[in-house]
Amino acid sequence: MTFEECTVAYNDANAVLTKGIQTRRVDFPELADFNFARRRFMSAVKRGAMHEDWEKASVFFCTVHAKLARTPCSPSWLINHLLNDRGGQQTLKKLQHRVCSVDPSVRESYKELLEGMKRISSIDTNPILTEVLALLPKGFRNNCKILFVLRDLMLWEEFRNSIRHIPDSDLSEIVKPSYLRERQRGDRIFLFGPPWMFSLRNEEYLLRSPAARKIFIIGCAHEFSGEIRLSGFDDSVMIPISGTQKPTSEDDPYSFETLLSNQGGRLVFKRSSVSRVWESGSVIEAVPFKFGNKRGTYLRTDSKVWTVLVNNVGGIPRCAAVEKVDVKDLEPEDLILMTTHGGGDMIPVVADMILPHSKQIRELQSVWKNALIREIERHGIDEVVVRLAHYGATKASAANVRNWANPRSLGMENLDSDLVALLKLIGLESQYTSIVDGIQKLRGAHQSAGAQLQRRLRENLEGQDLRSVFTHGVMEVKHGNGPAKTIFIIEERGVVEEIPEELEGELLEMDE
Amino acid sequence: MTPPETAFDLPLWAKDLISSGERFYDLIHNHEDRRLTVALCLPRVEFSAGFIGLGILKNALEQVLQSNEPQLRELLGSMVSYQDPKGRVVVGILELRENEKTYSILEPINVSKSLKPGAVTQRRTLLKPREYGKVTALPMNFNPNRQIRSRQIEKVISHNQSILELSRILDCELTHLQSRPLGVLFNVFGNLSRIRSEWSQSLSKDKNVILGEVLRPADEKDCEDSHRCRFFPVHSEIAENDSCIEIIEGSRALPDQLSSTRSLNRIILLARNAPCYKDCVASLRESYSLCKGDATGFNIENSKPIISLAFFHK
Repeated sequence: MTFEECTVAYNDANAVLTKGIQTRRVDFPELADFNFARRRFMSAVKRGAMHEDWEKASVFFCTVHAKLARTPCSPSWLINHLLNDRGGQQTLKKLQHRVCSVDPSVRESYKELLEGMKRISSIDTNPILTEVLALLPKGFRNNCKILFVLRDLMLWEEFRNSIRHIPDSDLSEIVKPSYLRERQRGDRIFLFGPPWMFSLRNEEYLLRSPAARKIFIIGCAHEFSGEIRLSGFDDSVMIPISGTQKPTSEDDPYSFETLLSNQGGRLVFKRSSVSRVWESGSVIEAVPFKFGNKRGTYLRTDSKVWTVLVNNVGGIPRCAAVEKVDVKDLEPEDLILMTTHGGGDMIPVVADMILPHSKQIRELQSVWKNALIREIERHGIDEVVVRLAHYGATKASAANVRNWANPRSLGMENLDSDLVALLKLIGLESQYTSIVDGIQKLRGAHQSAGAQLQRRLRENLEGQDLRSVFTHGVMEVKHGNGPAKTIFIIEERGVVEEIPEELEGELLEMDE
Repeated sequence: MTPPETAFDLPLWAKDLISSGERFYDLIHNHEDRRLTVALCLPRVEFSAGFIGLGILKNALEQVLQSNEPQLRELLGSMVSYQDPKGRVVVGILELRENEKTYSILEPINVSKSLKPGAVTQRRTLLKPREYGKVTALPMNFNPNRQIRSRQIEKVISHNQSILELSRILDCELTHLQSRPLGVLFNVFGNLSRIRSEWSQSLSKDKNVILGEVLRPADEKDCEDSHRCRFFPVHSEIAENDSCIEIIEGSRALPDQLSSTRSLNRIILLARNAPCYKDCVASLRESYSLCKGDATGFNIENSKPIISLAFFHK
């Protein structure tokens, strides 16, 4: 960032703190009624501790309300999209015949919800969009760059269509919230949803460190409440809100946001209590993520992962691009690309694609690594270190030997002394030449893989139909005979934890 | 005709950060038996450590200048530099006329082509007593006749421009820094590559106004012997017996850093766009709950986006 850019950021913050954030509440009576029924339905399902399918329906209705109330998309299009592209139809179909035999409170509210959806389906223009259009400068905008913040990439295309006719529409851009943390700025920013949602989703930075001089928050009147603390040093000092349409206080909006119920909470994975021999004992800071298929993983806080960007041209979600993003900016509903056997690290996959006979080489690697693990289990790490030193290893230490045994490491630095000693220990001296050859080939392939990775990923994935990620939470991508990669949809993001270093990127089952 | 050059000035937020550094320095010297924490909540963390450092440097220098009488006698016969009231930098040998009790600077001989062959000019600048403090010694290896490469010239010019511009903006004779070693004044814990890039770029489009030229971090090639601050990666451990001011950019390591700097004076910089902002504020509030009194008079005056919390923690 240059000094001028930094000064602009301070000027933006100054303007927002002086003039306040502009808030607009819009009336959407059909949605308010739907929301009322949704709350009753959810309470009844929770109270009755009902079957998982009813809980799924709860989540679906919650999603319907959230998307309608917190995006400017056309209600008729949106409901159709959620039913057909996001698995809503399947969820409701399962309940079709069971609804007659459930508790009357569930039945009544369920019917109300279906009728509500039908009513809303006949509305083409979202009242939020009407408010947006009223707030846009009329005529020539004098290069005024407007940014619309929409989390869900699948909705971008529809929204882009609805603002296509505004003057200078090429100066308007749709962005994800995380794009405004560091990278981009505009003259006006439009945010959608109630103010409390920004606190709930840890997105207060959009207002505390604004990327424009003017910020608008537009939301539905029936859920428009909450304020945002300015610094957090003093709980009573809030970011000023201007105008007469200030948020009203409402009864606990959080309790009904099941989609976000674990936000900031702890995600628990099933983990083996037996530590593996290559675990070094060192811990790292990592963020747990829950994926759409009841699995999840930990990703190192300061690392980057591959994400898949989606567009929704013609009603089918397709891969638009792949991009490496910071783990700190991953959000629910982002799609991330991982190898099935652990690791946000895709390099081994590409290395195997480049390297001829990679399977045999990896198998030979497993032979000596497994033999070493058996030795450690049988005699203990200290005894193995002493014996390796006896056979002439120069860098045998407990940490190094653990690292050599780790399936993710390629091998030791000093092949002449340390590998020879290790092979003597496990009785595989005769394989020395082929093992050395394999390690060197793997090293070379890993180096080239880094450079080829992005190009290959883009080639493999661009234009792929991604519907199954949104319906099943997971999608395997195969390319020729190459190893499989998997796209996961992030359902929840947990809080930072300290975990054993080796656990990073491993696919783990959620502990229900 | 070229447009008249406008004087470069810093924006309000930068000036406020400089004032914060000055006030911090004054406060810790007025309360030597106590330890001060100042947390600054900012829209962005970029450049903040540099400007705060500049404020600390300014007051540290002024304190040194006030406490030392101008000892011009010690500089007699050596190469000195001095900026006259018109802004012209005079470089030459310091002389004393014993009978008149006046000091002057004799500039090197200037051979001009416009004069007759063999003719030379030499200028002597008389110093007024109130200007004695502005005279600074040039490094021992200064040689006006030395041949230097163009890159070195550029570097020297850039250095001088930065010193002169920042002197004007701060209203402080930073030229004295060359003759008065201040030692290491502060440590910065943060994103090193970003800070290095901020401190090496010019703040002005027209002139060289480079923070690093004045603040001289220890890891810069030319600053090894004359550095005034040190950089450390954000997760580094802080020596508990360090006597410097610690400037810490908030990160996930902040709880540990707050705990290890309990006996030190520290400035914590919290960027409101940082992913760990909430956690940093929580750890800071925890420290504040154990504080030994508020440090009054530390409000940021002009710039609304900067919010401060100042307290004594010992």
